Amino acid sequence: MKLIVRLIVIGALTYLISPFATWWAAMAIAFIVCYTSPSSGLNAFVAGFLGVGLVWMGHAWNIDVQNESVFSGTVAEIMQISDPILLVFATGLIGGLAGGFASLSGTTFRQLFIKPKKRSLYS
Amino acid sequence: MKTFRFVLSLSISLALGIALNTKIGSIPPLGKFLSPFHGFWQNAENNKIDIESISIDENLKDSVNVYFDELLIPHVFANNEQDLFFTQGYITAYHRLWQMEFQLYSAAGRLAEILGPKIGNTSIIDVDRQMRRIGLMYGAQKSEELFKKEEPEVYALIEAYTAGVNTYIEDISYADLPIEYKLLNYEPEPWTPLKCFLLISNMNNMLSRDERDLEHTNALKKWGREVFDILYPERPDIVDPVIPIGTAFNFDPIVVEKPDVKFPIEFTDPFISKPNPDNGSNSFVVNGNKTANGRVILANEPDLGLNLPSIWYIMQLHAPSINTMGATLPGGPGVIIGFNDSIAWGNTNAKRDLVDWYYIQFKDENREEYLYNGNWVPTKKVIEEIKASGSFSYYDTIIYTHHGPVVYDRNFTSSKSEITNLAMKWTAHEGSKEIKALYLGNKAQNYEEFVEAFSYFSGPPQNYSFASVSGDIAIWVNGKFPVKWEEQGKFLMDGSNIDHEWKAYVPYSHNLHVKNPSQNFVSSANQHPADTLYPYYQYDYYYEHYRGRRINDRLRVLDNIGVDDIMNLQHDNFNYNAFEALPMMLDSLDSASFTDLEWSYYNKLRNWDYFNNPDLQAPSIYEEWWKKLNSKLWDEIDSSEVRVYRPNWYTTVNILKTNPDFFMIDNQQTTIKESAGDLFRLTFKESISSLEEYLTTEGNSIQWYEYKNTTIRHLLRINAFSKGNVKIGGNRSIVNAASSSHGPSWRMVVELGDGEVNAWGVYPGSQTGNPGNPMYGHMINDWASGEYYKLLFKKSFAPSDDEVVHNITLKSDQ
Repeated sequence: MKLIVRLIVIGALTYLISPFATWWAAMAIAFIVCYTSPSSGLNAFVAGFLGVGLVWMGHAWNIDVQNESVFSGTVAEIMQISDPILLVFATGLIGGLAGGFASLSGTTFRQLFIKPKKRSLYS
Repeated sequence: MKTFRFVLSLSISLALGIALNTKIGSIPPLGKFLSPFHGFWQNAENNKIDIESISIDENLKDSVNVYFDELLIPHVFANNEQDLFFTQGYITAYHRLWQMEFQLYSAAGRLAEILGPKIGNTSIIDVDRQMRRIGLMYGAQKSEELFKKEEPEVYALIEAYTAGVNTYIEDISYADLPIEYKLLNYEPEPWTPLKCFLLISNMNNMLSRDERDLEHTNALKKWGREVFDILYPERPDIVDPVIPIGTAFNFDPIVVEKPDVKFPIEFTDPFISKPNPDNGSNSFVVNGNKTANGRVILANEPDLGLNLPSIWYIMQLHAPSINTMGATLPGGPGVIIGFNDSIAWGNTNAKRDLVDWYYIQFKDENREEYLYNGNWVPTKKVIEEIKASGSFSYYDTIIYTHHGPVVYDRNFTSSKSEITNLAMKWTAHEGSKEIKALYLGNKAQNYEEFVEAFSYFSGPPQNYSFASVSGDIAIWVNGKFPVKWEEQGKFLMDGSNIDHEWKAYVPYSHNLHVKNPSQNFVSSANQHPADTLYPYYQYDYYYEHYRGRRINDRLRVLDNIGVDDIMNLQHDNFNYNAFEALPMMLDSLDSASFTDLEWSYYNKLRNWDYFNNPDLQAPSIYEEWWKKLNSKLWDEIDSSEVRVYRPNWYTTVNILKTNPDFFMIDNQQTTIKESAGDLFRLTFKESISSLEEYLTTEGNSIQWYEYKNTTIRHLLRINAFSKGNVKIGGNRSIVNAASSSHGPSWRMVVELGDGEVNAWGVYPGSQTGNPGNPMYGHMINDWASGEYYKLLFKKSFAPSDDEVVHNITLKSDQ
């Protein structure tokens, strides 16, 4: 359940903030969200991967449908990709990897602090 | 362990982030490029136009309205000229930012900054060095200084244009950048007035730099004077010049005597790439005596590289003191080819040898002094830094003499040269005022004001045709021409000898012109400027010899002319070269020994009327035969150790017809001595096999347009952004000059009279430069099939007008 909430938060923030920020803002968002809420590493990675990846893929897909794949076909030809739909998937994959690893970094960073072992100065 | 996990995942994240933000080889930074909020997806436009109204804090005195019509032509209505040119810069940047910047990176010799030091086997550094060495920037800087000192008012308008471009650049987000920036991973830099002057230098580079002086010297040394004169005659037997034969010249010319000089006859290797010899244009004007309705009609089309984004951008510019419309060049203020409420003007390149080469003798290795008129004169050294993306900078020292830059020197030479240190003298190295000429021309109301305006035009020299609502027609050969003695600068000259230098320029009033000639029309198509009665030496290595004669042949017989007739003449596909060469070639064939296949090819040519129409096969057969014939005929030239060049087509036909024993007709690779007839027979068979081969490997048919494959090519040569196989006829040296990569880059027809100005135009491209816009390249098919669009030229617009598809206001916040 927490996974879905985290995924939705990452996705929503990515969607809302990205148009006004640089592309790696999605990575920063995924990092911060996973830093501020406790989770396991795998859980965080999946949330970041799907949160950013699905938003990137969905947004690209939406643009592509409206444009009737005209321009993605042109760009696919330049990048020597056979089918423009692969560009939509590639967009999702790249966004997902960026989001996933940023989330993992966020949660492992958090884990550095959540169980600090109190050590005596003399122990 | 935790620390390790964190460090590992953070490292992966950072590495991934950096990798996705970095261009690797030719692959753009994938994160940036694929992000649907920033990257290429944002260039996929669903609406044809999306520019919005904005408020401008400074640089705009008053609000400006811009109305876009169905073709996306902006009609700019401002209350003063400053605001008008500001808005021209702003709107042009909206549609064409990448192109206007990129073409001047090229002219400035800065391509390596964008493209890196190398692409494949091509050294971009060497391309840049060449541009720096021929001194386009050197000329632009001088023009800017001249304007600052002498033309502050026009300079202020150039600054307004600059501010308009920069306002657009400052406001643009990465998401809105043209796709080319994203593919190459760089961002626009601020515009400067200097770039507007560099644009003029760039036009000079395209149109006034062409010459063959060093090749001539090689040819003279290799073959001697007699052969040289056969290969490269200055004036063929028939000339139909720009200024009608018999026009009187009533002035006392400046006379320069040919001094008793010797040219340095040494082999050199001029390896700098030459402008494309297909750059040329047609323009013609008929007066009321020849038209059906008594109005005058002006037609013009510049034949240049067919590129996307298109070289031209169409605009109407309106303010209380000015109302002009036509083709602008992205990157410079004003209209280049167009009309206003009173006059119309067009231009074609007025070729003349404006580049000369001087052999320089330095005193010693330090190259700090050179010999001139018996003295050692100091040189000036300039170190050029050529930055390269993803690599270190390259430094090149260029030495300047009073002649100009020493283009070929010990650091820039070839082993084939017997001597090096060649300085380039070129009119484009001197400061000049073309932008003022165009500005005044845009506002000129009559013949006198037109003449005054273009007296400021130095280069590239143009045949300016003129028509007015009041019924006048005229043509002026405008430009700055050195007064030369016969053959001055046709060969390499001695830079130490004062007698080899240019002594004066032709005064403007002595420039060739004619107003309202008795033939009732004027025309120009890059042919010889005048007959031999013109008292100045007029020389260029290549005056076009077909298009001009065809246009004049037609205009002499046409009567009751309507706008349609003029448009048809612009699309005239008559192949004058084939008309003069093909009967001789066909007659030499031995039809008794023909195979069936040879008969079918032969009959197609025999039944051909010499029109290069797009769906015929004969033009392809002729083209192939003519190419093969030239290769066999000029094998001595193509395989020469030192650089020489083939004679032009007209001379070629002439030699074949009148000089059948000329030694080059003999094919070097055979032991028997060939005659012209042998060459025709041999190459006819070769052409058939090569066309049959083409049919089995590459093409489906040898219809002319498929075989020719006219392609409108993206400036980066990206196929997906280009449009090939355009169905258009014509060819080089045909009035409809569409060859595979060159052709009519803007067709314009203007009818003036009865207080009205009506204009039509079309070009192979679109106003938008964005390959992701639904309108990208939308005019290409209409352009090919001969359609024109009526240009909206009104004194006022309202947002509710049916013709207005979009409008914006630039609001002044002052």
